[in-house]
Amino acid sequence: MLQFYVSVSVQTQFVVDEVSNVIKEAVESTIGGNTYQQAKVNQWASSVVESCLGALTKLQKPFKYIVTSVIMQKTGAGLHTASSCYWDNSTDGSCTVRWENKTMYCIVSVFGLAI
Amino acid sequence: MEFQYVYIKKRSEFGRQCFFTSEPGALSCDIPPDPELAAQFIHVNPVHRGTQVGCEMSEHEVSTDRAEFATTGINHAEGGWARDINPQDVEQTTRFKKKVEKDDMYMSSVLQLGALMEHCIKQNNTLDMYEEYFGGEQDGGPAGEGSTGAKTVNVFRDPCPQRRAVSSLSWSPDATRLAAAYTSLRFQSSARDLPVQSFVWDVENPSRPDYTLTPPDSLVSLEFNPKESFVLAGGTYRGRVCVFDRRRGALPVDLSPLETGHADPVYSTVWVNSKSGAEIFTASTDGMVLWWDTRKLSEPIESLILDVNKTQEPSLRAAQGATVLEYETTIPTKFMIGTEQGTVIQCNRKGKTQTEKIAAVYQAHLGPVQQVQRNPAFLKNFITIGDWSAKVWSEDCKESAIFWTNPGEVRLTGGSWSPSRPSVFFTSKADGTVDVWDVLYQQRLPVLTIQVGDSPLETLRVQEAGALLAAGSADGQITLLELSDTLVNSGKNDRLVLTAMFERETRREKILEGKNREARLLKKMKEGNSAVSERSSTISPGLTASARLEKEQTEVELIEDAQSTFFDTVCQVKSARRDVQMSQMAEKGVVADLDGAEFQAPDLAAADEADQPPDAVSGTAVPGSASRQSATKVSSTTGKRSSTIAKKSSTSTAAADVSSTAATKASSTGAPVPESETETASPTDATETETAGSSSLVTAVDDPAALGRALSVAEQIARVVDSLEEAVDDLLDPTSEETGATEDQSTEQTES
Repeated sequence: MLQFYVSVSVQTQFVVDEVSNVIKEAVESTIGGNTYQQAKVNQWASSVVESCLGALTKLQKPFKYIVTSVIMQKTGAGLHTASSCYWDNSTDGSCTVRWENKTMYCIVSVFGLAI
Repeated sequence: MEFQYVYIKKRSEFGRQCFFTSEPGALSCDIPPDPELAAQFIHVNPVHRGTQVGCEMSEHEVSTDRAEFATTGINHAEGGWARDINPQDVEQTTRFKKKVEKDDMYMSSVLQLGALMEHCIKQNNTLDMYEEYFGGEQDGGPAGEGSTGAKTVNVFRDPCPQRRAVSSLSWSPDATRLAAAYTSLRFQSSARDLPVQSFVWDVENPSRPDYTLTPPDSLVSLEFNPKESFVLAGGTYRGRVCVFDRRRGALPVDLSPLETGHADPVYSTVWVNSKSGAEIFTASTDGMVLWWDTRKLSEPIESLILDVNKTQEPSLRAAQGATVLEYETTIPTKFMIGTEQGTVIQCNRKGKTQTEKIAAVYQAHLGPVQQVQRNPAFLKNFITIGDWSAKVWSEDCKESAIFWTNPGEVRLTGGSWSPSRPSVFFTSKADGTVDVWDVLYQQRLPVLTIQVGDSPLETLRVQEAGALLAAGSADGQITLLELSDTLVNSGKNDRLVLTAMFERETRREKILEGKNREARLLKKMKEGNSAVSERSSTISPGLTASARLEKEQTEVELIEDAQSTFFDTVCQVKSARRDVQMSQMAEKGVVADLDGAEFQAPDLAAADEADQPPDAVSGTAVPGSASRQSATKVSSTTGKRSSTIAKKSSTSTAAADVSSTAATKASSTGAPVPESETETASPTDATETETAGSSSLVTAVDDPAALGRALSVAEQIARVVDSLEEAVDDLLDPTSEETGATEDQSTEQTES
């Protein structure tokens, strides 16, 4: 079997650190310092996602992105999420950021798939 | 959200094979449950949530008109009669009273009311609530103290487009309305089609007149009926008299025809206090005063011609034009007229003949008399306003006013006493000012001068309460002034002081009058016996007579004599002027008789000369007759005129112009004297004395001081008739003057 070894440049690689920084920044800017308010949570969730995605596309990388965010009020309940992927491991990647303050958790997942 | 991403892919990289590998499931997030956090939350069941459904309301405030309340008390004297009872009717009231007394409840109600009344009366008796606490206070000192002023309350303008002058004002009896007559008094003024309406104004409303009066031609004078405020009487420019009734419209109710009215504008219309309450009298410059009954104005009920000359037949030609009437309702039969010639004539309506009707004539002013009015508090004194000064007269003093204001620079057009303050009077002037005078404070200057406007003021009227003054001007504007309290209220002492002042001035004038009369008489006698007096003065008996007289005189009389001689010279000037006037009238052949009648002195040959007709005198003129008779002939031949003038030359000795005529006449009498002198030899001495007498007369004329001395001497002689007779007797003694004496005797005999 022929195996092609393709050199992948940094430009075309999913860099997890860079992306997690981007996410943290986006979440912080959206809901940093707020307490959980049921009326505003919907709006927060969508704005977190939009700001993440906007920052990611600014990186100008040839990737397809999928961003999800979960905001949960701290009431003593537990939360468990998992994910599994079938992709090209050399070029694609994912990143999950868990952010919290006194009253809520915010978990944002970004999956980047190279074009 | 909208994202745009442009990327570049190499062609070589298109269709790159994707090497799939499976990524094992990775836990993304793991948060264990935390019960402590759960403890922070409690379960609320049930949940209470409040809702509200209410209708919206709005709030408004409303305030009704406030009703004014005032608490007053009533002094109930008599009243409470039933509606069908006339309280004036005694019969009805007594009948009602009897009926009530028979009523059952009468007794008990009277007892009950009686108890109440008793209580009130007892209260009243213990404390007098009407007690005057500050009785000693003086209210309103003389007009000079305190603030005096007048402020303009309202100005009423003639609403017609062509402005006419206000000729007359009249207040209604209830003082709410002011009637004004508008006319153009300028002789033959250009616009003969001036609107003729006159207006009655409501004092409160200056924007438009209350009602209009439409006479046939413009009104010159207008008066409210003092008894009925609806009726007005007016005199028009063409001499007609009309009566208006406000309830019956603007046109006059009755109108006098042109034939029976006046011939000149009716300058004054006054209501008379009569039984019928419907009588007016009017005056005009055509010399007539007419009485009318307002119910029937077809012809006057009485008339009076203002001819002051005491003749049998009053003639219109000699009549004086009347400009203003004065009538006081408390003296119903007497009235006064101010004339164009400047005299004030006091008349008595009850007189039968002309002379009885005209009671007195006062020479008031140099021009037409604008206003005559009696002082409301002192009816014997009246004020006349004319030419440039205002004069206050007393009825008793006929010669001159008792006091007068200094002549101003501007002519006075009207005036009035203040009805409330007897010492204050107002005058209006042709420069548009109103002067307020207070005779108790200052007689020389007005207390207050108010500039009402620019155009000359024509008329002035004070309302009866004394606080409001209306002044009408030549451009149709009426200004209503309100006077300050000091001018309206009189002090307690005002009346007493004013009475004393009037009496004092009247007494002074009377003394002067007396002295004047005596001086005139003496002058007459002196002239008649000028030769006699001259001769007697040189003779000792005459001197002893005068010396005797002097001894008899007390010091007071001497002072009085000195005063009188001073005043005599003044009076001589006055009488000289009057004589000149009369000489002019003598030319018209009217006054000569009056002259002779008035200045009659019993023994005076000169007066008798005037009476004698020329024929008789010439008849008595015998050749060789005395120079006196020749003098008579001369004077009579030259006619009455010269006789009067010759007489006048004897009377008027101080005036230089008349003295010149005297000199000429004396010379003319002297000229024929020498002629007769040639005829007769005997009366030469007499003629000499005659000429000496006349020349002495001339010399006396030139020297007033000597004349004064001569007059005082003449006075003393005249005091006693004996001294005169003595002088005549003395004349008989000297031989040369015997014939002179016989002349006198002969003339006396002829006259008798």
